[in-house]
Amino acid sequence: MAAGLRGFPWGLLGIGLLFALLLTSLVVMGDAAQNQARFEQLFLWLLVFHVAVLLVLSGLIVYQLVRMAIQYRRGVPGSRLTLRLVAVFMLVAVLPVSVVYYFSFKFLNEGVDSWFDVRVESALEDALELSRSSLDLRVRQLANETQELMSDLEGLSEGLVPLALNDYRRQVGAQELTLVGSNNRIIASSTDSPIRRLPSPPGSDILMRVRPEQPYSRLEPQSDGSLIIRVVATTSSRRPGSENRILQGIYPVDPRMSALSLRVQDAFADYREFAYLRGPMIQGFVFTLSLALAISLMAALWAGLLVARRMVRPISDLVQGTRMVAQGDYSTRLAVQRADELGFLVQSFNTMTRTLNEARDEAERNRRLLDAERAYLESVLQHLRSGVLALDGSLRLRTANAAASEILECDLQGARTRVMSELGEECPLVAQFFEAISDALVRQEAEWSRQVVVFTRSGRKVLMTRAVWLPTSGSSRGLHAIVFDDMTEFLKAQRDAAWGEVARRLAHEIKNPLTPIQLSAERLSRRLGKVLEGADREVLDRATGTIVQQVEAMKTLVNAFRDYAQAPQLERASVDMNQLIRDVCELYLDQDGHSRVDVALDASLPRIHGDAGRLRQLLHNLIKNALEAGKGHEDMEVHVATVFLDDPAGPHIEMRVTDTGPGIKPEFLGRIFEPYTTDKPRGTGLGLAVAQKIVEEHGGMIECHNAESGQGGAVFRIRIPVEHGPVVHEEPE
Amino acid sequence: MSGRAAFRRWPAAVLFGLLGVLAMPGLAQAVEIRTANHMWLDDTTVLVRLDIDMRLPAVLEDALANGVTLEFETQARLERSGRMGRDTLKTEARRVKLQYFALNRHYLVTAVTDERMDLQPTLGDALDQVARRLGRLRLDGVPESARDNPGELGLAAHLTLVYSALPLPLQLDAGLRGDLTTRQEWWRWPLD
Repeated sequence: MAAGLRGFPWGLLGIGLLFALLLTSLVVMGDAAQNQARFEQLFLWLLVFHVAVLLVLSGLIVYQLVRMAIQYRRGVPGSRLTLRLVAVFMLVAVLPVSVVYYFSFKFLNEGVDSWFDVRVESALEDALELSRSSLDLRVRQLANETQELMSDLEGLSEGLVPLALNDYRRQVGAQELTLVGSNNRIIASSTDSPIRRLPSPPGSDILMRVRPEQPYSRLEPQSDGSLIIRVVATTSSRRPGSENRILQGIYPVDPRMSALSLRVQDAFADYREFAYLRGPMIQGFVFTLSLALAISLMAALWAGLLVARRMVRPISDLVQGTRMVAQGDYSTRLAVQRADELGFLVQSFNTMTRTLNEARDEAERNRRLLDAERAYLESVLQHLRSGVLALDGSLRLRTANAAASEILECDLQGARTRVMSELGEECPLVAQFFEAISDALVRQEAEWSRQVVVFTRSGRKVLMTRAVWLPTSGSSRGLHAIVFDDMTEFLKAQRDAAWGEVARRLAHEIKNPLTPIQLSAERLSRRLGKVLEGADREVLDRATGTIVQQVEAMKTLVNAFRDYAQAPQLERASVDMNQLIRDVCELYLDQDGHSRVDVALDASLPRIHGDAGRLRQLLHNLIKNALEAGKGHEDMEVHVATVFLDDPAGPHIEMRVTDTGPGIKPEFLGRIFEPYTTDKPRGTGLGLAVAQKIVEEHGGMIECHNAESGQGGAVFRIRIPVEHGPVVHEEPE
Repeated sequence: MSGRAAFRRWPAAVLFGLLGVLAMPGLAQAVEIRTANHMWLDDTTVLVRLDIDMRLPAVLEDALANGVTLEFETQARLERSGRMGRDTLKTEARRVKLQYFALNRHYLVTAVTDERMDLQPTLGDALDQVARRLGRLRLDGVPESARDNPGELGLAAHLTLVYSALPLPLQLDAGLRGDLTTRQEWWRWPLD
């Protein structure tokens, strides 16, 4: 119930009532303006009412304006629009009101003036004058008659006077005849109605005006609305000693004549009064009109204020709602209170916010789902042992997992959106890796895979890399998805397993029968050597010697395989590579006692942490390989050089073993370090394989190419990191 | 006074209250009590005698000549001064109408109270007659103790032009201009 009362449009009801009252008052005022009596009767009430309404309206308007000003100052939504609308309403109200006021003012001035016609006034004056003339004639006539009566009465004794007065009164038709003596003493009186009226002597003012033979007469109105004619006459001659007598006659005026005369006089008086009051009346009309127009203006202003507020309220709500939506509150709903376009707008706003809310909820659900999937993917990626990188078309890093950071030894997860080339300046492995794959990335090959070898502080890494170009549909942009695995350990284990198997088979299939063969050959030589003589003995010795020699060779081969496949545990210690190289080169002297190997060692070469025996074998294999490759070349030279490098890949020593031999055949270059790769008729094909194995066991790398000078010769470059233990420079022991 | 007349009078009072804001009223100086005194007629009756200057201002003379009826009223009060102000013990009023009687070119003076009519040939005579009519007010029922204790009671009198009897436009005009508005102050003197 209370809510219903609150929701009731009291403002509109007030406006309606006010306008109804104003309209009624204006109608009444208009009616009253046509009727003087009614105008006088109602004018004050209307005036008081209008003044009261004006005051009430002024109060309401001031209240609304103050409220609006406060709202404007506070920046309440819609206050500016309300202000503009009110200004427009005021303008719209003032203009027509001003026009109406101007023409009404003009009409009043000219209209009221038109009420007064000179001819009417003249006619009224003539009518009044006619009445006066008629009455004056009667007055003069009665004055003469009264004077004659006075003359007749002059000689009569006081005893006869009453009878004579009575007779005379009847003769002249008077209401009253009174004879007054000295001191205003009534001598005799005759009246047509003694009950109605007592005789009254003439007043002193009349007596002062009476002269002998000049009776005083005048027309007198009565309280009952009739007219009488009073005539006072005195004697023309006075005898000495006689009393001065005065006769007063009161004569009725013919009722019709009296009524007509009074009516004419009243009409004339009214007209004169009306004409006299023309100015004040116009002023009154103008005042009333001004008041009515002021009320109309104020009412229009007040109505404008209310209407503007009512019109702007949905817009204010919309602005407020929009602010709420802008702040992210999509649950905002506005009450639809109108059925017009503004109501439709509010309804549309509600629909929009509802749709936005649903869309946001849906987006939130999708985001959560996406987050969950992303988290899942992140989790999968983080737990993957494979490195995963995602690069955009401009080769900026978008995604990297922990394995990628670990393999490439760089914090890739913290380097998102950075260009890979920039990242490479900080992370050497990234630079090597990116350099190895950049050609495929730039070409945006749809799918590719390759083995990438990078060198790290801890040695060589073989990265099996696969990548896919994922173009974005409808766009030139796309994404490189790169997956790479550190295959170093795997390849090593695979190779070890393969060679272990070979060694096992050799041991099982070849080495086992060798001893019986060797023993049999020695038994044949021992037994038949005693029997045979001469050439037979020689053939036997040569044959058994060959058998034993070849069996030894096969044992050596098998042992070499065993050494390769079953690499012993490294016995690491601090090793001076320069000294080790010098010791090994001492073993390769020519007939003149000169070393066949030329060395150029870096004195600043630090010690490394390695297995001296295995490194010695490495050097033997390389030098021996070089010398054997150079057989038949008289000017064959072998050079061993060392140098210390401290580049972004980490500190390491580099050893170069070069020769001036024929170089490596191109068909062998790709698999020179694989077992059984040799072009020497008596080589096992394991020397370089073992050398590579030793280098890898020390975390280094070995590579081989022919000299770029074009004069032949092979170049072996070995890099071994200085990682195990502090880098120290010690004097050779 | 009829009910209708009363009905018409109090809105006028409201109006003049409002109009009072617009114009500070001033007394029509020529219509005023010059002196006032009293005379004991008997132990309980006092005759209040007012010497009234009845020279009309030009606007009223003009109005009278143009058919407007003027009404004047005198009031006499018997008052007792108290802590809370004055208590009115007795009041007597007298009202007189003055109008131009065009049929015989006289001025008609009518006592509203007893409807006595007097015709005067000139305005001066008529005003004198009005003054005479207004200048005598009889207060009956005056406490006898007042005569033994002079100064205990007081008399007050004032003269006013009855504005509500004026035609409405003239009322409004008078209110706006202030020419006809009276501020009739009470003439007070002790009863001894």
